[in-house]
Amino acid sequence: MKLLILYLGLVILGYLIGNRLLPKDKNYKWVATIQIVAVAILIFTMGARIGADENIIAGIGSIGLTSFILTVFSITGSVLMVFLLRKLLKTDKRGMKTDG
Amino acid sequence: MGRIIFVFVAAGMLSGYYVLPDFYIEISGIILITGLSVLLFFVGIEMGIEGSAVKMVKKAGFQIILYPLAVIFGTLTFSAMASIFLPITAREAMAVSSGFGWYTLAPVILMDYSTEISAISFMHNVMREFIGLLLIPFVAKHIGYIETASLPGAGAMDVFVPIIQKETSKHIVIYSFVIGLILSISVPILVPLFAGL
Repeated sequence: MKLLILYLGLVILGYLIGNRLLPKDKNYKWVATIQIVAVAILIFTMGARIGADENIIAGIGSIGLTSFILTVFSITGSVLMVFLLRKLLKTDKRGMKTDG
Repeated sequence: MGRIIFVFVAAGMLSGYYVLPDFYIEISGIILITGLSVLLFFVGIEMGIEGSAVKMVKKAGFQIILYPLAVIFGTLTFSAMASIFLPITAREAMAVSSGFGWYTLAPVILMDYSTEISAISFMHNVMREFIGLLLIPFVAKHIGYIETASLPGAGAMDVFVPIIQKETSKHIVIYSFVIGLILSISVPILVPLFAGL
């Protein structure tokens, strides 16, 4: 719960600073640059932890299969629920309301 | 961006397996939490600068919010069902699937829970984006336009917008954007929540 509060708090704090304090007319390319650097460090470190864990390297086949099955189920569930909601909201296949 | 990510994961895995000192692995927990904090703060700043998110939802009307909720509900219930056939618990399956394709964020959050679940999360979320991408034309043609926006997950708000627009029509962009936006916001909430972090 502690990390959840930390992460969520930082997103909200960032949003408020970006929305209220930073002038809108400037170029914020550096914001994207910091994100790319942070992602690179995170992804490298994550890879290092996976690579250093012999059980994971040995079980990579089963991990791949688990991931694939989860993906098939997640996508099926998503499409099915959106399909049912669309029918419920009387919207046609092309996303247009039909009850005029 | 995508290619750089895979280079860094591969470089990390190889160096973790062969050369990196144990010291780096020991302090990796702190590196990950610090890096995530920096990343999420700047993700927030970027959203704040753009600021159009809330306005767009208001303009499109309240009902549109129901679509991302349907994607979240479908993803979670079906991945929990899948866990019956898998060597992971329903809660772990939901922690993995609530990454919604955001493979640079979700698996890093889960590192603090378990390296194995984090590895599953990385692979699953890469697959969700990739298989989602491949299915867009089929779903557009045979099932429905709005459904295409539910395929890739969080990416529906940025990288997938032009692809979804091309395969469907212009008015689906707002659905795609709102679905991607709500899913993106829910990743840093749902992933730690299901993992109990």
